[in-house]
Amino acid sequence: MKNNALTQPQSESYRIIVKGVMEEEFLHDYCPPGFTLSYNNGRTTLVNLQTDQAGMLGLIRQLHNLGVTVMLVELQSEMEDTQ
Amino acid sequence: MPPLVWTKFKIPPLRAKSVLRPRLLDNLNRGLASRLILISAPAGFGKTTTMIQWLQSQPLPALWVALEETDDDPIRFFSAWITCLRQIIPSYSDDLLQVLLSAQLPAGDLLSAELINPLIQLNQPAILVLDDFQHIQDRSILRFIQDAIAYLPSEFHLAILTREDPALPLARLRSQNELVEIRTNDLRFDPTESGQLLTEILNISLEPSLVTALTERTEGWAAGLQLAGLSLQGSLQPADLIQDMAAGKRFMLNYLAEEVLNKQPPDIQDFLLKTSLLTTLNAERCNLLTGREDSAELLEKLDKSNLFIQPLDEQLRFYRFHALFAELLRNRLNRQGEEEVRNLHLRAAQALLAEGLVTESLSHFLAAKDYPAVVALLENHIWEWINHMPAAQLEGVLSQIPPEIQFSHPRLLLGLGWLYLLQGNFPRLAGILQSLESRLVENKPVSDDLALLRAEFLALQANLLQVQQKFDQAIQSARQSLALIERKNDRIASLAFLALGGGLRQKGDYEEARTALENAIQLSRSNDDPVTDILAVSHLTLMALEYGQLEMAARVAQAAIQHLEQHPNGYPAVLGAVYGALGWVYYHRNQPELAAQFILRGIHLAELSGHNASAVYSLAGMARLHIARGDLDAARQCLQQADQFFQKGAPGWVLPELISCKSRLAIIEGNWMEAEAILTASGVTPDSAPTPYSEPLLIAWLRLAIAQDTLETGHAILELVQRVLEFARTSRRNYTLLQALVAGAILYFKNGDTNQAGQWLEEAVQLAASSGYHSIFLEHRQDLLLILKTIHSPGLEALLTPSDEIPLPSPSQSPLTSAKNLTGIALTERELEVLHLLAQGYTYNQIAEHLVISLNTVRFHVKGIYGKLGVTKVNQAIAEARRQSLI
Repeated sequence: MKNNALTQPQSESYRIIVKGVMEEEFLHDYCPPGFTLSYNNGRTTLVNLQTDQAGMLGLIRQLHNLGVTVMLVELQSEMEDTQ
Repeated sequence: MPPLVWTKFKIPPLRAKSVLRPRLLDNLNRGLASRLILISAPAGFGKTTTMIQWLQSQPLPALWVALEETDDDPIRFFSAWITCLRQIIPSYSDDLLQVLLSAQLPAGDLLSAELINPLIQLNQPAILVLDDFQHIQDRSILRFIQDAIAYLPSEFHLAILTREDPALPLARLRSQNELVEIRTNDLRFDPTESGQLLTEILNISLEPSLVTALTERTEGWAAGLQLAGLSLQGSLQPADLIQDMAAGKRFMLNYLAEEVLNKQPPDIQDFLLKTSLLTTLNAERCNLLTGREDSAELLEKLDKSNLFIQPLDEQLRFYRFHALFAELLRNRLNRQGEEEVRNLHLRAAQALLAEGLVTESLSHFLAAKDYPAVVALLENHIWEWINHMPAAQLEGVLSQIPPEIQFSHPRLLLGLGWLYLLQGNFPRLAGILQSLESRLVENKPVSDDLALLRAEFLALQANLLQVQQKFDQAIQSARQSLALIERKNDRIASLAFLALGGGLRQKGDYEEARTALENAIQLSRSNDDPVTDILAVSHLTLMALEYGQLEMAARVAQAAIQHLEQHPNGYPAVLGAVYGALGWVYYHRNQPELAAQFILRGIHLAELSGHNASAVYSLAGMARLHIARGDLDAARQCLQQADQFFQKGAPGWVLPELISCKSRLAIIEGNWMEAEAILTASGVTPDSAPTPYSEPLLIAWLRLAIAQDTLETGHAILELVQRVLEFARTSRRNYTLLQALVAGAILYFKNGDTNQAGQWLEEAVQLAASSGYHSIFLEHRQDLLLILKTIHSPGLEALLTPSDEIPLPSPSQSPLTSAKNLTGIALTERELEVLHLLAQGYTYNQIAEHLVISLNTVRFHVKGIYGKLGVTKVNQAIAEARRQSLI
């Protein structure tokens, strides 16, 4: 439609691990672009979720409302700093 | 509107001075070209301020809804949405608002269509801001918002302010460039903006290096900066404080807020704590809570010094705490002990009660666990709340009252019982009646009060029995109730008369039923109880139709509609029950266009209000109209829908007409086996005795016999004709009589008895002339035309001459050819819309999406268009429409 210079959600980068296998369609509708996805041991790991805390909170609450168990949430950049 | 509600829709006033942030406003301007504007950031980052600044900087009209925790309930949310939009569209979603106030939530599609269509037709730009959207988690609300984002016209702008991202497909919108958002990082103050805030607004001058340090420490968080500024006011060593704020030492909010609070004189601290449990503050409430007399000045002072509270209106009468402090203050208050908090809640409740805010005071009484007060309020207001408060909200209040207290208050239980009766929740109603029975009925009445309670119990019981078709017991309970009331309570009396009338109608006692229902109408009207009024009017209208009193039926229904549509508080959506019944009147008068108009409105309101009984009889009426038009597919759809409504729970008296209608459709399709199976399954056979319940089914058996045209069953069928005729004559059910005369005449004619056939036809024609029924003659048009070749009857000939309305097709005609009968009738507005879209090359799916209607509805309109234009293909329709300059 229109080509706007939009504000993109910022720069913070999160990693989350949830129990179960998430549907691709959900991920594309609700997760910020640019993330990478991997499955193992019946868990879904999303890395490089570029959003801020308000975005992350919204996503976690939504996963919770869908009955998904969130196992880990991590602010990647901060964790790297401390390591 | 009470102030509490009113401030919810008011754009909050900006403080006299605030830091203008052009970069954010530019961003928001770009939002006008996208589908959604989103400001997502934690509390205190200036979301609201930024939005208001932008609204003031641009010319479009703006609307505001300040959402609260309690709005995460579809009924409350949609009521708020509608109330807000009625500021620019006064009649916006009239029907839906009534439904939300009184009953359940309509299905999602219907809801979205109801709410979005008027905005599509609005054709004027507007911005709607939903503030504090983080409270919304309910799926049906989110689904609606998603629909709104997809379907709202481009000049209607939706803006969401929230502390966390809403559960909407934001990533998809973002990738489609349909989302403009302002997030935490955008909202952070840079050192220049911090400097402006400190010097221009808080009157503190700091060295630039300290401003930069403060901006870093607070990470540009507006609330943090402001609190820091407040604690720096008058401070001699600002650098020390800023040093203390080093990140990670303590949580900044608590630290700063405690700092600022502790700096206040003790009486101000006390004032803030004591008033913190109010959602909305004004001087009177604060005076009552704190025992002070100067709350007005104090509130103004607090506002001026940018402390803790925000004004809600320009006149500075109402305030609320800033979200950040409300929590902090309430936590502090709780440390002062349960007793103190309870006392304050009681005082808050009294203060609100003194302002006439009864429902608002309830939550404080509940918080104070003052159940006697809650019960007293409920007992006094329950009927008013049943009529006007969202049912879910009322149930929410009731559920907080401990069961043992509910149990010891029969009046409360009775109120709950009426609520269940209206909702069609019969099992729970039966449970309540059972628990009350021993206490109210077995004891002898010792006081007027107990007698009235017992009367109300009996009236409630009678209404349940009536719905369950136990009409003898219903009549008995209702009469006992009326005897106990002795005209001391008109509300209960009108309800007892309603049950009595319903019972007597099913028993077949016309005169007494009519008197009872007229009493119910009169008492409910003088007592302002529209629901009882409507239910009694629909009973009376439908009953009058059975007895051949077409004029009276029309008069009663029209008067009720006129009375209720002008009611100052609006009308409950069960009014659809009267529309549907009036539609039947027009059907019998052979005014199909009017009939369809009223019946469709009846169906619409019944769907919205969940009133299953009227949904069933209105849909059956619509099926009859479709059959008359030859649109058998549409008729079948109506009957399937009617079945679904019946299964949701409807009184048994609606069933015979529904079954009769189904057999009628099968007969017209030539499917006699099916018709026979349908009728047999009803349990009423040609041998059954005629009663008000069995009579439509016995007539249906006659119709089947006429269609089958077999002489073997002739004798038994002619005997059935006689039985129905006799029943109709003795009980003076003139419409039944009319149907039996016409059917009998046809059967006798086929049997070779021209004489008897002629006599009955003449009687039928006279009866029709005096009562106004045309429908029965047109339904049997083919057979009657045949008879006219042998028997001379100018009266019958006149009745069979097609009126100015739609002529009837013969049963053998296929729906396609019969559609030609619509030729020459003007297209409806909706059909024109569909036609325009067809001409633009839209598919059915796209049209459904564009107009927010179902695919079936699109097909229905297209069929109507083809019929009216006399074509069978879409390109023909477009060509014909162009020829007639319709598009």
